[in-house]
Formats: sequence, C-alpha cells, structure tokens
Amino acid sequence: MRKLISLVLVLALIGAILAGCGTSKEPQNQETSQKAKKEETVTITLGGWASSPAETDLLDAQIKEFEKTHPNIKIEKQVITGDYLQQMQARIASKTEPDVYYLDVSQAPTFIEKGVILPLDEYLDKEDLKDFEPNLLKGFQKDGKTYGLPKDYNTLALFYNKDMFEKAGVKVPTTWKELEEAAKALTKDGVKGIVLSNDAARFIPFIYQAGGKVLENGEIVFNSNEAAKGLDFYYSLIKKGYADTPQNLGVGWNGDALAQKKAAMCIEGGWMIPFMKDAGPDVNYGIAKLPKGEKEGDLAFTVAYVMSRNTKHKEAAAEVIKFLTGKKAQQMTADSGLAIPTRISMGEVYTKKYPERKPLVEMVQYSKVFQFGTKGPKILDALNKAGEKLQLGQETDAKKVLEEAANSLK
Amino acid sequence: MAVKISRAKKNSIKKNKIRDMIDGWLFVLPFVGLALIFFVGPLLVAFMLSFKEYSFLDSVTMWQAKWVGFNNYINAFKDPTFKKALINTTIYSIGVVPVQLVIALALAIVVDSNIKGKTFFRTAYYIPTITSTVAVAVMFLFIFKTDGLLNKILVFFGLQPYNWFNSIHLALPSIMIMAVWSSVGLYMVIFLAGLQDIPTSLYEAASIDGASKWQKLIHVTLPMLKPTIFFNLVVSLIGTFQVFDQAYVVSKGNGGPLDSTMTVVLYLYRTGFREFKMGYASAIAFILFVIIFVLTLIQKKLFGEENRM
Amino acid sequence: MARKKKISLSRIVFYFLLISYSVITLGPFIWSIITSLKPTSEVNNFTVNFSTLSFDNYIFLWKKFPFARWAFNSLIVASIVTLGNLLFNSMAGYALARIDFPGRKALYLAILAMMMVPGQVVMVPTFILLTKLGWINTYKGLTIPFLFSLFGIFLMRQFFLSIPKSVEEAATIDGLSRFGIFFRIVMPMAKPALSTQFILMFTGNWNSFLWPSLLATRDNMYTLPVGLNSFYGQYFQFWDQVLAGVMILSVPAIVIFLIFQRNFIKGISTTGMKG
Repeated sequence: MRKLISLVLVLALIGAILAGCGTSKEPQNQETSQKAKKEETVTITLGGWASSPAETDLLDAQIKEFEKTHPNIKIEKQVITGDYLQQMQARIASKTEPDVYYLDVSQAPTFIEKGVILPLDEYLDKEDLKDFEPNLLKGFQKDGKTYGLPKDYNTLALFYNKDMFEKAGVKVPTTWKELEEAAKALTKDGVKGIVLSNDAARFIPFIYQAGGKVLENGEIVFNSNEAAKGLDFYYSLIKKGYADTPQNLGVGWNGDALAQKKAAMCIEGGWMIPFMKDAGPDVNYGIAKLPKGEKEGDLAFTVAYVMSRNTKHKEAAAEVIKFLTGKKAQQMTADSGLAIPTRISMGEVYTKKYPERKPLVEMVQYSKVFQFGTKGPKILDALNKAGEKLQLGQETDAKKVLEEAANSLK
Repeated sequence: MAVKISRAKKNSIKKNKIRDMIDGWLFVLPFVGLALIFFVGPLLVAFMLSFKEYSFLDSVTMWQAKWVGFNNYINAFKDPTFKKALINTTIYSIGVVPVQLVIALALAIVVDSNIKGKTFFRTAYYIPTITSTVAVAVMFLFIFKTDGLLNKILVFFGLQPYNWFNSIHLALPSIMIMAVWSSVGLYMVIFLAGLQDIPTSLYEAASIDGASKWQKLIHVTLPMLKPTIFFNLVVSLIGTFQVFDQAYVVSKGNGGPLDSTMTVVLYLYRTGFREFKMGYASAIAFILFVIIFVLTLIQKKLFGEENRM
Repeated sequence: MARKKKISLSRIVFYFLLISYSVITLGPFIWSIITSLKPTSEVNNFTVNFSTLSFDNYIFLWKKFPFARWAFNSLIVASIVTLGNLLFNSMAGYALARIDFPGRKALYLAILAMMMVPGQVVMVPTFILLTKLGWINTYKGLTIPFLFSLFGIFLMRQFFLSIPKSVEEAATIDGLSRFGIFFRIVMPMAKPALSTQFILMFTGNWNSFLWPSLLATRDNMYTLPVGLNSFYGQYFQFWDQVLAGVMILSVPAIVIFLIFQRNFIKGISTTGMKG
C-alpha cells in the first residue's frame, strides 16, 4: 500500500514538472507567435469579482459581442477570487492588475486620489455621457474629470409580502407614519412587520429622508438633529417591537427573512430578485418605493469599469470600457434583468420589460451614491457602532450616539 | 605516547566539530535558502514599512515612501480600538489554549489505547480540522443562529436560548467554542504521534514496578511527552494570538457587535487593506510579534527547553 | 472471563462520552452533506425531505466548471509541496535536534520568531517578489515558495528530540555518515512523525486558499478551493451549492487521513524489534 502511494506521488511529481514546463512556456509562445502574425492585435485583461453563474454568462456574452465587433482587441477575463480589495492591492502594488477592472463606488474616492485609475475624458463623447444617470456618474468624477463609467446599479426599495399585506388589510406604505402603522399591523403570529439590520447601508436612507446628511464638503455632519431623527425612527421600530434584526430572527440577512416569511417587509436592492427565485419561490412579493419622511431619500450602489494607470494599451482599454457600458451591452443587461442599466435610455427598456421593478429605477433620482470620501470605511464603522448601541439598548438617545460617533472620527 | 594519543583525540574532536558544522548547515541549507528568499526578504520590507506612511495604492514605491519614525508605533499605543483588540485577543487566547490542549491530550490518549472503533474515533475527531475554516464558520453561523440547532437543544433541556453572535458578551465566547471545536483534532494528531514515540519498554518497566494506569500517565507519559506538549503549547499560543478567520467571517469583517470580536490581526487587516494604512498595520504586526515572542520565551524557560539537546 | 469483567458501568460511560464527542465533531459535517443534497428552497429547514434530496448540486458543479483540471492542479500542487516539506522539514528538524553546529540555537529561535509574524504583512511583499520572478500563474509559483514550513520544522525537531540517541550512536560506530544515518536509520524510525507531517501538510495545502487565489490568475491554474470560490459571488446565498463544493474539497483530505493514520503504530519499538 505504501509503495503504491509513493509510486503515485512520484509519478504525480514528474507529471507536474513536465506539465509545469509546458504551461509556463505556453503563453509566451502564443504571444510571440501572435505578435509575429498580427502586430496590432492586443489583449486587454478584465478583472472582476466572482458572481453568480447567470451574471457570469451575461458578461461572457458581452465580451463575445465585443470581440465580434473589435477583431483587433481580445478580452481576457480574470476572476479575482477571495477578498477583492485585498487581492487588488497586491496586484496594484506589483503592477500586475488587469487593464480594466470593476470598482465599487465606495472605493472610488481613494482610487482617484491615489492616482490608481486614469481619467477617461479624452476617449469619451461628452454628449453620450449625458445618457448616464447623473447621480451615479458623479460617484466616479472629480474636479470635472471622469474616472470610470458605471456599468449597472441598484437602489434600495421596499420588498413586501403581498399575501401578508392582503391578509392584514394593509396598504403599501408611502410615508414613515404609514410604514410604522403597516409594520404594527403586520407583526403577528411570530412574524415581524419589517426586518431591519444593524447596517449603516440600510439606515442612511432614513437619515436622508429626515433631511440629514452624512458628509458635506468633506466634513462630517451626521451629528445633526435631522440625522438623529432618521436614526431614531429606524430603531424605534425595533424598540416598539414591529421590527427586528436578521440575527434576532435567526437568518443571515434581510433577504432571508422575507424568503422564509419571518418578516413582511425588508429594505433591499435588486439582488433580491434572483435570490427570491431560488430561496423563496413560494413568496408572493412586491417592490415599492421607500416610504418618505420629510422628503425622499435613498442610497444607490453602483460599480464602474475603470482603467489601470499601468495599462499599456490605453486606447484599447478605453474601447473596452466604452463598449461594456455602451448601449448594446446595457441592452443585454436590461434584457437579462440581472441588474439595472445605468443609461437613462436603457433604464426605460428595463422598466418596460420588468414593469414591477420600476420603483428601483424611480428611486435613483432621490439617491446619493454609497460613497463617503477617502475615510469611508472609518465613517461607516462609526455609524454601524452607533446603530448597534441603540439596538443593543446600551444607549437610547440617537443624537448622543451620533455625537459620540462623530467625536471618535476626530 | 600519551601526548600523541591526546593530540590525536583532540584532532578527532576538532574534526568532528568541523564535520558537525558542515553536516548541520548542509541539513538546514534547503530550508535556510528558501526562507531567506521567500520569507526573510519580504519580512524586512514589512519591518521597514512599519516606520513609513504607505499604502499599496501609492504611486511611489515602498522605498520612496515617507519615513515617519516611531509614529506608527506610538499611535498604536494611543489607539483605543487596538487596545480593545489586544484585550479581546488575550481573553481569546487564555480561554482557548488550555481547553483545546487538555481535550486534545485526553482524546489522543483515548484513541491511542486499545478501544473498539479506533479508526472511526480518530477520523471523527480529526474531521473538523480538515474542513476549511470558512466552511466551519459558515456552519457555525447556522448552528448558533437564534433558531439554530444549539438554541433548539437549549430549549429542549428547558434552558434559555441566546442570540450568540449578536451579543457583546457572547460573540467572543462563541468564536472561542468554534476555535476549540475546529482545532482540537490537529493537536490530537500531534499528541498521538508523540505518544507513539514513547518506547513501550518504559511502560513495561512501570508495570513490573506495579504502577497503576494513572501513575503511568503521570510518571511515564507526561514527562516523555514534554517536547510534544511544548510544541503544541507554542503553536496554540501563536495561533490564538493570530486569530483572524473566525472573527472575520462571524462579524463580516468588522469585528462587531461593538468591537467585541475585534482581534489584533483583524484590526491589522482592516487598517492595512481597508483603510489603506499599511505602515500602521505593519507596526501593529510587530507589536503583536514582540508580545508573542516574549510569551514564548517564558514558556521555553518554564519547560527547560534550553537544557535539552 | 476477563472480557465479561470489562463491561462495567465505567466502560459504558466512557464509550458514551466518546460517542457523544464524535457526534459533536461529525454533526456539522453530516449536516453539511445533507444540505448539499437539498434544493436551495429547503436549505433552512431542519427536517430532511428524502424525496427532494439529489446530487443536482454536484452535477451542476461538475458540468459547469473545469473540475478535472482544478482537481489535477490541486493534486499536483499538494503532492509537490508535501514531498518537499517531508524532506526539507525533516532534515532541518533533525539538524536542530541532533547535530551540534554553530548557529543552531540562533536558527531555532529564528524559526520560532518567524512563526509569530502575521502573514498579512508579508503577503504583498512576497507577492511582489514572485511577480518579479515571473512566477505568477505557474506551478513554480504555487509550489517552490511553500516547500518548507516553519511549523513543520519545529514539529520534526520536537519529535527527533524524543527519539533515543542509542540507535544513532550504534550506527556511527558502524561507520555510517550523517546522511546515511538520517536516511537509513532515523527516517524509518520516525514513521509516526512522518505520517503526521504528511497528513498535516497535505490537508493544509489541499485546503489552502489565500496564496493560490493570489497566484493563480487564470482559471487554467486554479486549484479546487480557488475554483470553487470563483462562482460563489460576493454573497454566500446558495448554501446548498457552497456546501457541495466544501464536500468535494473535504473528501480527498479525509481519504488521505484514513490512509496515513494507519501508520500510527508504535514506531520505535517495532522497528527496534524488527531490525
């Protein structure tokens, strides 16, 4: 037995060495032979994080379409597995990052400030740029320059269980007051009216709706009375028993609570749609705009294609970015229904095809992108802690916890 | 004559010494070579960074980055989150190390003895170690959730259910339980191999002297197992002080609720890779290094490791 | 007669404890197997509906992704790394335990010290070095830097410390060189230690994710953990698929353990007798 094992291992070793030689030479050979044949053909590497099989298929189809129309440019997709930000930093520090890659809007200020990504203006058509949702594009602009084109986005909306609403005889809430009443009426039989997580990315819309802000001209202003009002309302629903956190409901995240019928409402984005299909196929749910407070307010999450400062083929990289955020590619995104296109013209295609998802698109005009400057991670951390203090009952005064959070950032 | 012999002896001792030196270094050469290239080099770079202000996104290279002297170290000692992380990590280590080693030793002795189904028990106890940490954490999230298995068991026995991962008092202990569960198998296997190295003749001699099972354990097994115990103790201490994976998965990377699961390495990761302050993160790493190093030297003294060899 | 005596109350309690603990260790594992066979919509139910269990998740994974290639990569990388570790760690551990050479104590302390540096801070500098060597996305990069392990060297040193010196001394008198002693006498005697090292190194490398995910930039070089992660997406939403992947990873590691744990037989005494 042992001899057999060692034999297998030795064979594996020899095989590996041979295979290792083979693969390490392969790409070089290809490159040189290609260069000899066609001088002008370039390969652009495209980096992104791992996503669901359906989304992967969509991107593959878009790439195929691109290569059809651009015979001189090849796209090589690289999936960055694991922690995207950590992996990208290793790649950037060693100057081996992909030519074009995904960048979340929350990281954009840092990447722009550090000069990691290049401005795209010289390759862009100013008129065409007007087709992008201005609120989203703003997230990738600084000092009049555009550093990335958003590929798709999501806003937060109210996802609700239609059957539960019907049973309780409640109308879909459009204001804070109606939201509270609905949550109250729906809380029964072990079901909570709404599930609310301890997450700044969910309660910041309420701060906006109350007239508060997180940042103003780069300064922290979330310790205002308005912001406190928004935070207070959010957690008052939990305190009054009409809402609870996903942890307390025994689920992983807000979406689970709706899928498992543990809550009648939740505040999430378009990623809920494919999720519910698999995890809660029997839940008859609807999508509505977020209820408004003093005014409308929401967060938008978006991802852009950006160009690396180390790319050797700027023109070709720009072509790739323009195509993948262009009308043709976004039409494919819209048709697939996996994400909302960032072009206003394609947004209409999307809402026509999926009318029930219109609220997600409507909210974009009231949205600010999920982005809080170069100190974003610290600010969100402080806000999350403020929320946790209220939820765990360590403090009851929203204004006080926000003041403490602001002080901790000084 | 006599002089000649002693000279020959001296020569042979000298020769032996030279021989030992050559042999010794030849034996460690592959390791030393690989380590110098792939570990010591990068380590020195990291050490240099701890005196600089730098992020991996910077357009200047590491060598060109701005020197800030001891600022990163001074700031770390003023940083309340770092202090909190250090306290959490210490509690974690004090809780996990003895429990996991005692369970591991007990299990090793049991599965080493002549019990029925030895292979089954060995495999069963080792399986948690094989399963990847992230998968273990994911499973535990399921087991510890409010309507999870653990609470159902508690309720079944008439006890109160808890919200394990969302409580500032229970989140850290939950991670500790998880760590013990998942790493006991590793230490058990090492103890098991250590037990094999004890010559059976020693037990036979003890039996002749009329020693009971318990006496054999105290007077034969434990003293003979000393190098293995020392190894497990040191490795367990280093491992617990560097805890990252469990805390990262359970708190989704932010050390919550309210920093109750913030560990030193998690904080290091956050400052380095999320807040882009790699210089500061490196300083934290070397402070942690000094702490573990001192603790290990103390253990080494206590175990009399110096006098072996 | 003697057998009957053994079935006492303490014996029953003893086995009860053993079995209870194995339930604790195996429970999550068995639960994972079952969940991996469930459809997504039933993942959160505690009850098992046998009629809906299927291998769909496994078939899905197998069809959709170049699994054979990834499994091959994993096997190659884990085998090379494990063999390198067995040899180099044992040699270094032996020298540190047995050969009295200048610099030994300093080297031993240095090994302990290097184990204490959090990997996160040396990760990027090491990656930059490997980039400069051109080893990204090659088997060289995935194996050569990992051919030794500080942990493994320390482990082997401790094991060699507890092996009696008498056998080696006899061999020295027989005129064997150091290398002769090491390969012909010491290594065969260290069977339990070597099989332990084999188990630890192989399963550790088989499961390792961070480095392969950095070093394998194209899917032809992915190892299994990296490949599995390349379609989880940012959110772990589909537990059944994730756990199917976890199972595919775990089974080979368990097989390795089952094979090598057999070598936990009394190493020294039997060798001594046979020899």
